[in-house]
Amino acid sequence: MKGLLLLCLLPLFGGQRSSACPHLCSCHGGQVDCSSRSLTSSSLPTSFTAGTTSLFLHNNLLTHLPNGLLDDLTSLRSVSLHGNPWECDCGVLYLRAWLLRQPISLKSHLGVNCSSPPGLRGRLVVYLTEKEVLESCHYWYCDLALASQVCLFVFVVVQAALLVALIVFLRRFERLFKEARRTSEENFTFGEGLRDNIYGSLKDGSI
Amino acid sequence: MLCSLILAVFLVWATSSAHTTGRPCLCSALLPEGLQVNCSSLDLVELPTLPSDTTELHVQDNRLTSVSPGHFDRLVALKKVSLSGNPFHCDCRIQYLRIWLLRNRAVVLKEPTCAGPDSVVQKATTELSDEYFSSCLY
Repeated sequence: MKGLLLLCLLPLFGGQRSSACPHLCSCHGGQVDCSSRSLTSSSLPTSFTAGTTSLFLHNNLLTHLPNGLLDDLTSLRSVSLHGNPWECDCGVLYLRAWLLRQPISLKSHLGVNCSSPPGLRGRLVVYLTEKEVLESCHYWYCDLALASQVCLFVFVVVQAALLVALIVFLRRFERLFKEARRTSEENFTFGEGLRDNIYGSLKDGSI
Repeated sequence: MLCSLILAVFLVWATSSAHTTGRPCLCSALLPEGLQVNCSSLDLVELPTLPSDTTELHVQDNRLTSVSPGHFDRLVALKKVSLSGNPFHCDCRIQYLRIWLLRNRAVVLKEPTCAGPDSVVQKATTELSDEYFSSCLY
């Protein structure tokens, strides 16, 4: 019975331990060391314990820091983020804002350089201007809006071309119609003239 | 000591070659450690490439209108910077300098001011508000 209880409680303790120290990291007191573990932004632990005082994330393969990752860590005193291939697009804004909030004396911003886009390679993330970051953003809905604009423009051009063609054909039709009417009128008057002539000659002949 | 002297000579050469017109910047090794780069009153229109171990940078009284984005990123050892007396043009391109100055207030000897546009003449670059730059995003 005792053994069964222990067996039931084991995963519970195990679970607690894994939440205390994130998977792939080592912990000593408030120090959480996740450095040099080839962590990517997707394999990075989603949260750290509230009591974390030092967090080592250097020398990994991080390209983005998930939004809000460090917000709840109120006891945090130092974070090492250098040696990661940070991508300086829209996703870097959280990291930039977090670094800007840190006292310069901690030097947490040093070594946090952009690896892409090419125009910003080597730049310190903390000193990027918002304009530079936003210029490298590619929102899919911006592309969609652009494509829609182009389609709309093409559509308007086609409409205009059709309208012009319609006007031209109507004019031509009008001209043809007038010509046809004139011809038929001419035929009618010619026919009447002919009948008068015949009638006249018949009358003359009878006299 | 000899090493720092050689470095200083090299840096004088490097900074002078970076800006061929006019006199070169003067580099001097500081004791016990550090490197002072003095480019003041040289009619410079742009900052030369500076050695990353520069601890003191004097570029006051030149003709700088802006600082190219990222120019100070490598200069992590800076302890004193003097940028005053330059006609900085405070348009969108001044944002990098502003952000850098805001974060490095402790090392700036005298706040550089704007010489234009008219609405911000004589205003310190760090005094410019975020709203002032809001139009830069579009």
